[in-house]
Amino acid sequence: MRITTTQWWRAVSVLAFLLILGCHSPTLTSSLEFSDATDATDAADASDGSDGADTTSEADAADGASITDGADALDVADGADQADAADGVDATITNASVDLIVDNNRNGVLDLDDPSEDAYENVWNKANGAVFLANIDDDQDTCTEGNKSDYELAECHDAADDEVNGLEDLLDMAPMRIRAWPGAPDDATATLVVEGTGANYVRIFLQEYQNNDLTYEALPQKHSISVEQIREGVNLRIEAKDIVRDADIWDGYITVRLEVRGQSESYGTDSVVLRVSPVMTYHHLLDTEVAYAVAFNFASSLAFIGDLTAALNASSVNAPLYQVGYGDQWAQDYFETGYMSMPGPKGAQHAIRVNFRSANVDNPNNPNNPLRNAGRVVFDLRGPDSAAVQQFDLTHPGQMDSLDSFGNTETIPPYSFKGIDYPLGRSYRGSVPSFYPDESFATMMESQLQQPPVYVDTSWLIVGHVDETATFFPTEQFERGWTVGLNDPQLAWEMLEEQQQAGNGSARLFVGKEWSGGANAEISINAIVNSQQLSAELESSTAEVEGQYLVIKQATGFVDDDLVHIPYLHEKQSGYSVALQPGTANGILLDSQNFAPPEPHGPTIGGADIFKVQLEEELAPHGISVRWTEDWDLYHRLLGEVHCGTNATRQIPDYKWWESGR
Amino acid sequence: MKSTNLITAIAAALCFLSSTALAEGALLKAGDLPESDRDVLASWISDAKQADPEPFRVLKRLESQMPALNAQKRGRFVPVTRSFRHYQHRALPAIVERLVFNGGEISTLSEDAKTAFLTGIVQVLGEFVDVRVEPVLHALLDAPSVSEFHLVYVVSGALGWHRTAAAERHLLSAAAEPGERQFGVLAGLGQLHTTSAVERLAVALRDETDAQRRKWLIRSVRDAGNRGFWRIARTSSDAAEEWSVRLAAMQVLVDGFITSTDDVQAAAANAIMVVDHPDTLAALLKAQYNASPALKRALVALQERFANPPLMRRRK
Repeated sequence: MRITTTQWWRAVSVLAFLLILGCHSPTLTSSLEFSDATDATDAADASDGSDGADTTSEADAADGASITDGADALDVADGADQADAADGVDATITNASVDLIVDNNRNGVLDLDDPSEDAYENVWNKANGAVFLANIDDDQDTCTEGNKSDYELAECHDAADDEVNGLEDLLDMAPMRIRAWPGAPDDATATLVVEGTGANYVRIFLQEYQNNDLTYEALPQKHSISVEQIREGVNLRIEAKDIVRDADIWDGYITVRLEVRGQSESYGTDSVVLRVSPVMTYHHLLDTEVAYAVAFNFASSLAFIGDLTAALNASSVNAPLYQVGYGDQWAQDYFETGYMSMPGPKGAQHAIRVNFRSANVDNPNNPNNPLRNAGRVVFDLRGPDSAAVQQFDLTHPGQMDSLDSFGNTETIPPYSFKGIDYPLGRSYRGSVPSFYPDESFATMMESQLQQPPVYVDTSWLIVGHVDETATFFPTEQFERGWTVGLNDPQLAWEMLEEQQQAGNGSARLFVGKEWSGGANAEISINAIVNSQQLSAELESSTAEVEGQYLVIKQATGFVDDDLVHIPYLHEKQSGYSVALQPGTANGILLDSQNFAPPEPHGPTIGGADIFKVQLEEELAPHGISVRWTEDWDLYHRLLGEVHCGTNATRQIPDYKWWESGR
Repeated sequence: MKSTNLITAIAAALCFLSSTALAEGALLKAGDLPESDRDVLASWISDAKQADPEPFRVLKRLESQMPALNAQKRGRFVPVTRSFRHYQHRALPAIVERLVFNGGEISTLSEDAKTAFLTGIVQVLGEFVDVRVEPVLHALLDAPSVSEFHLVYVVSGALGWHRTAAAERHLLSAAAEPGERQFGVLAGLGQLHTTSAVERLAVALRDETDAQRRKWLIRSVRDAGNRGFWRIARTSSDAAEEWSVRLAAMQVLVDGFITSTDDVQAAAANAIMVVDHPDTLAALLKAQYNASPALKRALVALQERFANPPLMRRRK
């Protein structure tokens, strides 16, 4: 390899630039290798003048072809193929005739005449770099569930075949183009190679005309392109066949390298770096688009669904309640909603919704269907722009399986702290070294990189979920835009003691309610505040909640005065803790003004439930109305609450993940 | 009571008493108990069945619901104890009957449903202390049928709540006996709330290296010194005992904090908050001598938490 002094300085400049940006540059080596080719093809640049006009016409032709007529499917902006001349870095080390164009400037189209489409195309950072999607939705609804096994179901999606499954499928693929080089020598051939590990995870389609129709051919990992195609230019599409599962195996970045060679020499190379979209989960600053629950035809479920529907009607949610068709009432637990996105036209995001299936292994000895059956709802929801992902490890200890339910996966809303931005928030899960969820799933979540996890200890809880003790509310009261709603057992005790001291010690909680076995659940204030066991559990549970909160506080810089205190007591069962009163932190936030927690069931003093009054007053300053929801029989009695029985797909945030620098 | 009813009741009681020696409960045989205790219990149960059958009905219904409840359970165990809290001491005869005299449907339950049910009802025996129940708990602590960790834990805890000299002797003896049950006994030992329990746990904690087991031991020490227990238990006669148990617990927990990392250290911090002994700040300051920079930071953070806790309230 021969590098001139000037090229050395430019390479050093690039390196310095990269270091300053702190950007990801898997192709640094490649970019230096280009110097060889640049030298060899310098002469060809001069004869490249006709390039622009030719490609304008052929790009137009491709763009207007039948399959994409009227759509932005190909996303190729009209214009000349002359961007390289203004290319800030690559123009100095690559040949203008050998040009692979991607949506480097992230405006959703291929701008053939915009220098920013080429500038620093071989580095990927918050400022530039193309994005593509794991095309794992099912645009033509061909993946029927039938009697397929857990494994077979997960394998069915649009990227499972070598076909472009219609226009909608095409839109899920990111455009690329080999710029036309009309003056390419007769002996020129091009190879297109996806370098490195990423090659196994992506597929590139080559667009061709056949009988006046556009066709798409899936390319092998290393593909030769004819001189005729080089002269005319080639439109390509790229998809990932999967999301990132383990960043140590594949981090989601790929380098695509184009080389044009003659019989005895290289005419030039061009490399671009792209990154597959990570999957992000939703946080509570995003309003609900669709709420989910399971309905049964018996009184307790009808009461629950009735209250939930009323809450939805009072909120901004337009879609009707989606009734999950499985007899597993814990709708929060077996799927987690999220999305992935890439730049779309006009500044929009083109998104695919993603539903994770929980890694709950209910039938470890079943070779076909080891997972919790209701998790199959992710495949029911799979369809156009809606994908399903499952990830699990059959060897994960069964006694920790509850942690794989998604009541144990929440998202801290966006914030900045100590100079670090978390514009999409952070994942919030219960996990400690001695008690943790499925590690392969956790690795997958962490490998998305956008929402670095905050882990707390939930091992003291009988269920072990983060939603048992904390939630997050939007608010305009504080600059960060949100606050923490935290279980405060001590406040609950104080409220009851206060009533006892006021002479209301005989007032009862849980009037008319039953525990399992038809047991009368009523209990007086006196019986609670005189109980050594409940008093001991009061202290233990408060300290544990406080320990969880301190982790949040340390991670976010949250201040104690901003807390929303949510009082309810805990009790002990078999050495673990669970909410004695309905856990009113464990509700569903429908939008910025409507929160649906469980009915607390007293005590009623002077005609008012003191716990209802407290929470309504606590949330009023934040503009949030409380929509009480009856959940005693179907959820509270069985160690869950409203949040555990519901789920939500929320709005995709305006913030574009690729600008995060993560 | 009409005479015919009285005769029926007496006949039933006699019939019950005569069969008790051979009866087999869910965890014990009636013959496992001294005859005098057995007779007292049998009579107590017989009377309760007549006078207050509701807890018996609840127990039976709950037991029959266990398979379904277990199938749809969330988390580790189906909750059982709460079903008896309304009845308080009235629930005890029904539970003793099931454990000692009549195993009911327990043998048909799956292992985890059985564990949930048994731990749930045994825990009630600790929540509502009655001297008549103590012999049952002593027998359970020695019973080969009580071997599952959580079950040993709740048996030890329930016996501990009785806080008698016999309970203390038996628990400390069981805690010293090597074997698979030993750890369950230690995990429940803190509910005895004595300095002797704390001292035994200090030894166990010093020798234990497994993180999960260290957490159980730390929480057992926490239980011994739990200010919530002592607040309700407090009388003028045991104020000195409260002080010494909480002091001993705090000291063991500070040692546990120093010698632990990650979630075990965090569990020790939480436990120190629960014990809330007035000498804690001084102990944390003292611990900073010769501490590594990381440990010193952790101690300072705990000191700040102790001085100004976000949730824990100070009350007398």
